[in-house]
Amino acid sequence: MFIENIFNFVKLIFNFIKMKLPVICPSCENLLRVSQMKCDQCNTDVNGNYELPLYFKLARDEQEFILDFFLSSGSIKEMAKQAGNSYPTMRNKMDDLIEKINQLKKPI
Amino acid sequence: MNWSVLLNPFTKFSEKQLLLFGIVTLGLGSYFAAVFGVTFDGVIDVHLSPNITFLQSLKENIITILLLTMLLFILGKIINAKTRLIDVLNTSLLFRIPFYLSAVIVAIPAVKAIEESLLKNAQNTTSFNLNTNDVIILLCLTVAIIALLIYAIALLFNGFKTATNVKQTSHKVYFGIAILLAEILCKIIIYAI
Repeated sequence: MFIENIFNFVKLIFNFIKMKLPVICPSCENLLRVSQMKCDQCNTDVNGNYELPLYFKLARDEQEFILDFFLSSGSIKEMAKQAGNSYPTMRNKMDDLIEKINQLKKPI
Repeated sequence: MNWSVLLNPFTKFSEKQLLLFGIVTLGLGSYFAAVFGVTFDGVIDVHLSPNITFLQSLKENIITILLLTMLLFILGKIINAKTRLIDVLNTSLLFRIPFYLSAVIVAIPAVKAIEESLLKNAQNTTSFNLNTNDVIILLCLTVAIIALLIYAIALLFNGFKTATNVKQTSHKVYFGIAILLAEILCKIIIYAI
């Protein structure tokens, strides 16, 4: 069950990356919110005003970075090797991302 | 050619590759210095010294590199606890490469001839006989040396930035102070040993 949940989560992330989910308003550059969701099977629409999950508030390359980190079993060294970058470059990117996530987690 | 890699090789290459390259260039640089009669008696110093040996040059370079590494590593640890010694050491090793290149430049026969002429007339500052070609060569030499110095500082800063993820302006000022401190300590140690 746990493995299945993780698999579904990764699949969901892949789908979002593929679909290029917009998170920033093209007009005022504020963070967008979710106002409608749809069931693919029965076409039920759900309307509301939902906040985006923290992961989706990140830029696309940052989302991909987290996914790569997950897929390389949490090894920055392995990620650096795959990306053709040095270890400190990847570690700095990770530190910057942690800093950004901590900022996003702070209540406004 | 990707110029950003030349300015900041620390983002692309692994620490082992950089260390190996740094050690090889340290040996070559010390050899060039002995062959072409150049001394590196400071962090940002290149002077003519016709009687220098390979071992003396190697000793000077090692003192410079270790001192710079030690100071920048201490500063790096203060700025970011995750700073690794190997990254700072590689920065110091690669920072020296433009200085080794400058030893090769001053050994170009045309430049060497002007240097010897200037050294001969060093006592008599009123009778320098420099023709237009000599002035052009000297100007080109100056531009090349300044460009190499700028390249060296760029390598040092980019390496330190990559190793420590430095962002604050105050930390960049401390970096400048650390270089000056290394230069002073280096001079004292080299001439004391």
